[in-house]
Amino acid sequence: MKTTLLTIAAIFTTTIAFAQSPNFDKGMTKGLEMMKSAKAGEDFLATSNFFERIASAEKDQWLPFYYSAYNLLVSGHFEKDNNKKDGIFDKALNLTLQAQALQPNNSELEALTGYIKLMKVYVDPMSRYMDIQAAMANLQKAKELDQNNPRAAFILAQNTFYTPEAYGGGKKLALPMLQDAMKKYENYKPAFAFAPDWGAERCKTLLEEAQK
Amino acid sequence: MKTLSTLTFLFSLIAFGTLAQNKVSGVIKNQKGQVLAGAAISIKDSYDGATSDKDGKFSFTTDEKESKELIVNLTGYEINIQPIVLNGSPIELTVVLEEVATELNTVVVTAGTMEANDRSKMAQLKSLDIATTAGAEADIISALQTLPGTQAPSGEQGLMVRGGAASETKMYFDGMLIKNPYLNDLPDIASRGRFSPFMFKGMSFSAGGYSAQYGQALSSALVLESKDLEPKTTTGVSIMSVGGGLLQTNKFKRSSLQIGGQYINLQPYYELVKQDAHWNYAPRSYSASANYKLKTGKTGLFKFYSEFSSGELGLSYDNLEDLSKPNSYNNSNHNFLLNSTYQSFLTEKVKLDAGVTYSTDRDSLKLNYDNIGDYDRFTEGRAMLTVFFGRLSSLRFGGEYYNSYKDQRFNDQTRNFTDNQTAAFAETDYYFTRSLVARFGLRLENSSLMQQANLAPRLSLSYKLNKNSQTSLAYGRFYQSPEDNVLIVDRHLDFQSADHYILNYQYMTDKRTFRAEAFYKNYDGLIKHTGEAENYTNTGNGYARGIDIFWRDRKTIPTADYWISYSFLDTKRNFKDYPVAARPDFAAKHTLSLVYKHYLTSIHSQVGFTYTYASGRPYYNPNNVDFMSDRTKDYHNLSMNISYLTRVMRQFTVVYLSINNVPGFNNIYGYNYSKDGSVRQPIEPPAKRTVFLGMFITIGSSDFNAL
Repeated sequence: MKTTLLTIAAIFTTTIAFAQSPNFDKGMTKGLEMMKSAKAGEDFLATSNFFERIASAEKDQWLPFYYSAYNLLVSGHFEKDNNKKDGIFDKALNLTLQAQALQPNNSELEALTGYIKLMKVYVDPMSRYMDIQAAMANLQKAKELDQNNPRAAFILAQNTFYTPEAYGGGKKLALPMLQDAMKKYENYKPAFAFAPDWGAERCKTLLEEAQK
Repeated sequence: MKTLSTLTFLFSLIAFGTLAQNKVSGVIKNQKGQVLAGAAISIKDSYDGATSDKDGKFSFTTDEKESKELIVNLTGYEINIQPIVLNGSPIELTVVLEEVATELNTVVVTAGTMEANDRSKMAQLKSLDIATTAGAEADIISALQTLPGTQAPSGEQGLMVRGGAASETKMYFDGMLIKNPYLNDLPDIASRGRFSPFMFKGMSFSAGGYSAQYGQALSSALVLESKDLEPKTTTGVSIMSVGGGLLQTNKFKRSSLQIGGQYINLQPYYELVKQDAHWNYAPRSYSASANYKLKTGKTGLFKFYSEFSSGELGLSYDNLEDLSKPNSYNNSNHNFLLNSTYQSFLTEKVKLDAGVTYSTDRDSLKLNYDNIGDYDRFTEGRAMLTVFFGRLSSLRFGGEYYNSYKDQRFNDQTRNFTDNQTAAFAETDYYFTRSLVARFGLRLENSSLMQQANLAPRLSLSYKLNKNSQTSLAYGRFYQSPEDNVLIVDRHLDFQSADHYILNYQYMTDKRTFRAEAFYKNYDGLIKHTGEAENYTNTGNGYARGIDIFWRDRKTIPTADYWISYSFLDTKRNFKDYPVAARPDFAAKHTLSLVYKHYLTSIHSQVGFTYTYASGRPYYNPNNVDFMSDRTKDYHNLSMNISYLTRVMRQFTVVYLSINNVPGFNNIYGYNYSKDGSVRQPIEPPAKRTVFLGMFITIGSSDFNAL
């Protein structure tokens, strides 16, 4: 009798354990839909919050942290108050750290971390120029970990695009970098479910801009 | 059968669970009752939650049951966790979030102090501002002379602050006292500070009322904080009109090492640009330095800095007693400094700062036919613990030990002294609320040489009036030993003292700063002496009072940045050999500085201008019965600099041109008189204008941030 109950209990637990997967899939799918339809800063913030909830429920998944950080970063672009911007980017960095604890040496995570650090520099470039080094280190590592990662290439290209010529940037220098990134986007195939797949459109826009 | 019923029961429970969804809704507000959008609301460890909308409202349903935790999180606010019970009936909540304490909504202790650093939003200046101020040629001291409370440049080296003599300002390097912070001594010509501003990530310049951590300074504390690990491996090459240098930086995983060398020779420059001073031996010097940083553990940082430099110069100047026999002066200086510190968190709430410093400084002078030697050896050990308590408050306490040895030689005669000083201090920054902080400190010092001790209280109160402004009150007592030149003759003396009273108001936004400070200082126990007998007493006294104003604006002109400093100073003292109390020669009544920096992105350049005005300084005229009643004419200086960013052989390069006193104003700092008063000579800068041209190449860094 006791055994039967235990067996049943065991079956139930397994079912519940498996049930996480459909929940996760459903959650991620919904989150990515939210991200796709997001337009304003608050939409991206809501998406980030949504992914963060998935992350808090699914303790061993790095992707929800990743998407939460990415959406937070995008929402930060819309913020005008520099102090709030800083707070948003700091939180995004914290989310990437939590993801990295689950998934060390991941090219996508390194690329995103570098991206957020760059955005932090642009909040106050005159006094934070030294921090670019740290951002670059992440982006270089992202490239080393995966030569074909289009996002690492794109973020670097975008940074060059927006850096004034006087400081070693400009459209001219960015053009070959953007072309390279675009090629990588074209050859990119997501390797697993919900794998990062953003940036191609923006890359195309900048490429057209640079070719003018 | 029993099994089946149990199963049925279990199933029904689960079924009930899925059916019984709980509605959770509410509104998120801040402490002022304003609604907050974008807050993340979630039930701990579940998918369920929502984001507050623009009216601060949220609503969601959940399958979770029983007691759970509802977490509300919004950037810039403290995380809010509250227990909820999910039993099927709808829950409606109003959650009030508390703002996170930041530099912008929390008061800081500011009376007397101006900061230059990149990390603090409350800093009035950035680190780079010090290096790019026109007229300063990257000399920290000269750059600080554009801040309120300081005197304009003169024939004496050092910072003269709020009626204080140059010797009343002390420099601290990562908390350690620097005994000889200036290059070679020269008669009536100010020499530069030893340290490059690029070594430091932050500087705090206090014109009064400073922390009990710092002692032996009657007027001002200049606290330099060195950089942490260097971020990149690079080689820096500097080619200047006056010499050249190399700086190799190596970055390792947890450490960085910098080795540098420099050679300076002003001879070629003096050949080109006519000098008013008569140089027999144009200044030349060489120096070498090593700078090592190591991260230890999670929070530990070990810093080691060592520098050796050697310089020589010679000049002749008029002998006012007999103009046909000019004085000839030659000085060769050797300086060695080792400064090493360690900081680490011992626990989450306790931080240790410790350090040792050792320095020697030898001047070998030749004045006409006399050989004069002056040797300093200074050793310091220091340890401090900071305990953080409450939300924002802290308590720090520690001890210091100094050993100073000095010997002087005049031909065959020698004299020397050794002083062991011990000091202990304790100080708390106590936050009553986020808007009100009190700092209360005590410092105890003892000198073995004088066999005297002192106890100095320091008190400061700051109150945040609103988002952008705050006001502070401070009182402090400060002690300083008599100068070495006095102590070496007479050790039966006591500490000199100054009481500071400060009232400060500061208004600060992202791009603008206004700061006004009124002060009163009372000096007591200043050293007086009578006649030639070198008979010293602690009977001198004096006062200084005035107002300092600072305005900085980075907003009005988008590509430019300027600041204006104005100081009004009323002071008199009766010290040294003064027969009566008088305004001393280092104290102009009005001082004004305008520093302007303009970015010309199209030609990759930054242009800077500095204009300084000071009203006439008093000087002693033996022919005037009214002591120190003569004034020099007003001081004017307009300097400019241009830095041009470019590439040389694909390496990031800055070309820098600086011209001091562009219009060539004739400035007179004071007058020297012959003993009988029949001959007088103006004290002037060694040249009307100075021009400096340099090129700084950073190899191994292709991006702009290597500046």
